[in-house]
Amino acid sequence: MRRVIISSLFIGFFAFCDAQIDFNNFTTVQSKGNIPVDFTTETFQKINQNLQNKRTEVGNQIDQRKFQVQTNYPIDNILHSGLVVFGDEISAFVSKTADQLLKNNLELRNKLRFYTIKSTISNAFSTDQGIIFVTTGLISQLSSEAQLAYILAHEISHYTEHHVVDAFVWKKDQKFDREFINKMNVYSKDKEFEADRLAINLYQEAGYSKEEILTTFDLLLYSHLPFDEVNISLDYFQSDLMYLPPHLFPVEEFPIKVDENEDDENSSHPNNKKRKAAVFEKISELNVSWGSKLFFQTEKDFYFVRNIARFEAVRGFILNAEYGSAIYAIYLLEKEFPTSLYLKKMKAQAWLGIYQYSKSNDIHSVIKTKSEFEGYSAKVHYLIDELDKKELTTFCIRNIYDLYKSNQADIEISAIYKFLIKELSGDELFAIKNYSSMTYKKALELSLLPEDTVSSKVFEEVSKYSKIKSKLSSDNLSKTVDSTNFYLYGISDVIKDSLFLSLLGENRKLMDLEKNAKERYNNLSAKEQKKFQKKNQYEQFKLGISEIIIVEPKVISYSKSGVDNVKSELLEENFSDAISESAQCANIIAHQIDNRTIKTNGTVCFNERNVLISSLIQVGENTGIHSFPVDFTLLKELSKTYNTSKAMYTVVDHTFDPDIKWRYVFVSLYLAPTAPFFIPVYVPSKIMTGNKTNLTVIMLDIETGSVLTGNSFHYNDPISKHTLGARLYTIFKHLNSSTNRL
Amino acid sequence: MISKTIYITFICLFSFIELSYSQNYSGYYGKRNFVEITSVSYSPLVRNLLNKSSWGGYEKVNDDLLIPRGKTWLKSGFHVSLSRVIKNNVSVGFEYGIDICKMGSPTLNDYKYWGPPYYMDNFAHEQLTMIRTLYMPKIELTNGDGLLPMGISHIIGIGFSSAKIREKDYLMLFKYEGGYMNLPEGVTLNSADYIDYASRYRGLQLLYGLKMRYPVSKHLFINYGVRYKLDIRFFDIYAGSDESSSLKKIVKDNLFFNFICFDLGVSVPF
Repeated sequence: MRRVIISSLFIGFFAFCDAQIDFNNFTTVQSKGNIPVDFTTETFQKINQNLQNKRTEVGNQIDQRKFQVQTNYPIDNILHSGLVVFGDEISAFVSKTADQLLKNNLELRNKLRFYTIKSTISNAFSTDQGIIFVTTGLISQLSSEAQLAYILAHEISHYTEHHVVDAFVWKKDQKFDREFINKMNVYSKDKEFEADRLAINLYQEAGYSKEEILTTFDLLLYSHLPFDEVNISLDYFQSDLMYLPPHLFPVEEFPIKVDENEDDENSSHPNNKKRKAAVFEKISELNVSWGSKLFFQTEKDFYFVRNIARFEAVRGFILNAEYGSAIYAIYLLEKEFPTSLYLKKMKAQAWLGIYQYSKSNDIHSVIKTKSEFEGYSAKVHYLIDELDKKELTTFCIRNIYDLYKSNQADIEISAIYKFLIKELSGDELFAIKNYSSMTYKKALELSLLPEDTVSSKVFEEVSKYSKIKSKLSSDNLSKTVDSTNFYLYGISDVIKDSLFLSLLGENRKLMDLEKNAKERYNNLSAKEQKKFQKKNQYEQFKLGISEIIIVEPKVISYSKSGVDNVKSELLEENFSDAISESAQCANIIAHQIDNRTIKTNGTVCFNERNVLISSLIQVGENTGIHSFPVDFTLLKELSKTYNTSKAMYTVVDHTFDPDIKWRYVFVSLYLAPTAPFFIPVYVPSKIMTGNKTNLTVIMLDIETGSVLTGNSFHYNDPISKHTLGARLYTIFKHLNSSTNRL
Repeated sequence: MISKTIYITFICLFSFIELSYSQNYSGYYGKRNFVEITSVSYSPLVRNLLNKSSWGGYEKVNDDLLIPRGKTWLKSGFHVSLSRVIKNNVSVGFEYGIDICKMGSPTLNDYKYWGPPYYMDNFAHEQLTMIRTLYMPKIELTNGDGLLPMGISHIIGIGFSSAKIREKDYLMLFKYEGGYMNLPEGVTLNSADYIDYASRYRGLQLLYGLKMRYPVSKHLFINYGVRYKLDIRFFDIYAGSDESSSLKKIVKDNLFFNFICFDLGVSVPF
């Protein structure tokens, strides 16, 4: 009866979810429900609580504290990285799978928590605290619930066998010599074998199919590839308005290069072959009857959750500027969701990104290199690689324009289109006059007409070299239309679009002004440039802003042995207070989104922080490129909620290093009469200037994804609430001003 | 006259600088002025190290007893200053200081000869109290990223110093080996006969200081630092009898050999 109720609730939950997740209007996975204490408890409090349970297996008190610091801070950094979600559909599905695995061990089950990391990398890992993370990349690759069950069983085994503690204790007794890495790899591989073996027991007891264990290893082996292998042809990219010559698309297949028996000497994990062999041996030893289940939850629910992960993968590729992979992933998903508006938006973003990187002569940052070409997806990368700059520009314009034309009502696609025009206005290689007002097909038709004075005239105007090339072309094209210039016919409709032309003209004027300003700056001498930067340090913050969103201020305090995580965390509270007070003094309305406001405002605030952090991550991934915000819709909503689109990100790092050169002191003592004069001057001045603090402030416009301004300030103040507050007051005062007078 | 000139020059300079830069600085939470109260402790390191004799002089125990006092290593004064921040890293101010300290030997050396057993070098007197007032315009500088008054700053000043002996009936006794002897009947020693209280010992003080102001709230700093000062004679004005020349030397020695001072105080921005 209990099972029926639980199943009903479960089905109901997913039915509810199904109603909530609209793949046509997908938004990134967000957390739901009450926020778990893992996210709201300060790390130093967790450490203190954990230290009350004395774990003598770790070592003495100092070792225990060290262990807690070393394990808790990295995990909490992940929890607050902006990439982790809880209570979402994926985490719920994973939890349910764990329920099945641990149905006979409720005590263990109650100790574990499952969260999802939004990442394109296929991975899962467990922590000593009982948190098991699963990435969306992994979920997107699965072909059954049983595979997930085995992966979870493996991670649960790491937890139950305290492998994290074991590794800590093991490292303590090691010498950090040349052999350390090798020894660590051997140790780690042993633990992986152990987890694989123990996972089999748990998996078998749950009733899953034996065969799925080995397919799980195959999944891991091929997880670097896209989540599906489906052939793609040039037809996908062709349209009536844009002709692409066949030579741009690969004829040959790109083999998938995996070696099951790769050299794992320098790896922390055994290779696939060894793992499968060990698992096979263990299975053979087990004299039990196996279940045959691939799914305990419904297949529909599994595929639903997997699709969420796959849609998330598209977003992840855009976020990380892996545009080639994004295009292929969109192609795969369009087979099931041909009308998805979200996929169209992502496609437009991908082509925009490709254009931007091509314009910056950095296209290979966003597509795979030839040596990485594998499988069907490589064809997409190949195509982008084969197109030269002008061809790619045209192709990107074509794609974005088509998407815009068929979705004009969508604000995001319109924004992307206008963004593209702005980018084009600064592109010196893009000139409308070079393009034909005819499509390639039309031009071809005209050129094939016999006795046509126009066509013969055209033929005469074509250069000798073009004539020769067209004769040699394998396309059987006419002699007058050169297939190497196919791109010139690719935007015949776009160049006649009045909106396109007017926006291009307007933006060109603005670009000219910017260009002139840049040229004036570049003409200054190095000394003058330095002087200008010095003067402009605070001036650049004069943005006339009266309301801002302040995102998770961060403090990093260094001690002699590295980052002092506990001190850093305690100082963050001071930093938040300082921001609040100084903004108030400067008459700026500051909406703070950080750990403290998340504690009081809960999951909504947590999701907002995630979106804002993703925005910063995207800016960081695209240095030198003004990328279009991947979460445009969510960020726009956020701007409406807080009545501002301006966000401030701050980091403070501090170290105390007086740098007293004691040899000078000893020399002055040796030269005795100098000591009373030298030491009281030298030592106090060194101590007083020993504080080295850097305050980095970045202002983003979250709606457009542009960096409004940013700077790093260096000074010799100790780090405290009021020293930071005073600095921030100056910045806020400038933010509030939009003229040269404060 | 000279002090008036200094004040007027300072005010003019201050006004000029203020008008030039006043628009470019937002202040410490909007506050550009600050008043400081600082104790300035100094240590006559050089003098104490270089002299073997007891430079502490004699300390009065009761109405007719003096005892030798050891070297004094620390003396204190109080300074008050008012400053205004002109730019992020520049401020100007004015400091008024008062140091009261007891001076030790050398003793006054213009003694009357009383006849045996009362001899010239058998004379001891209580430590003389010197009161020195300091008037110092100063400028504070910090590096380009500074935000005065917060943080570390370099202070440069040239001040006008005026010292006098505090008017008081100092105990003066003949001494001999083993103790003190009473004066002959009918003979009294009055310090006023030997000390010119009206004399002012004026000089210049050159100052370089390094100061840290640590904010404890939006309205208060703790300041601490070290200052290196040089008291030099600017002009020689003394009045009265020859006795004053020895006093001048005592005052000069006390001031000149105190190079290093330590500051500790509070600053209030407004």
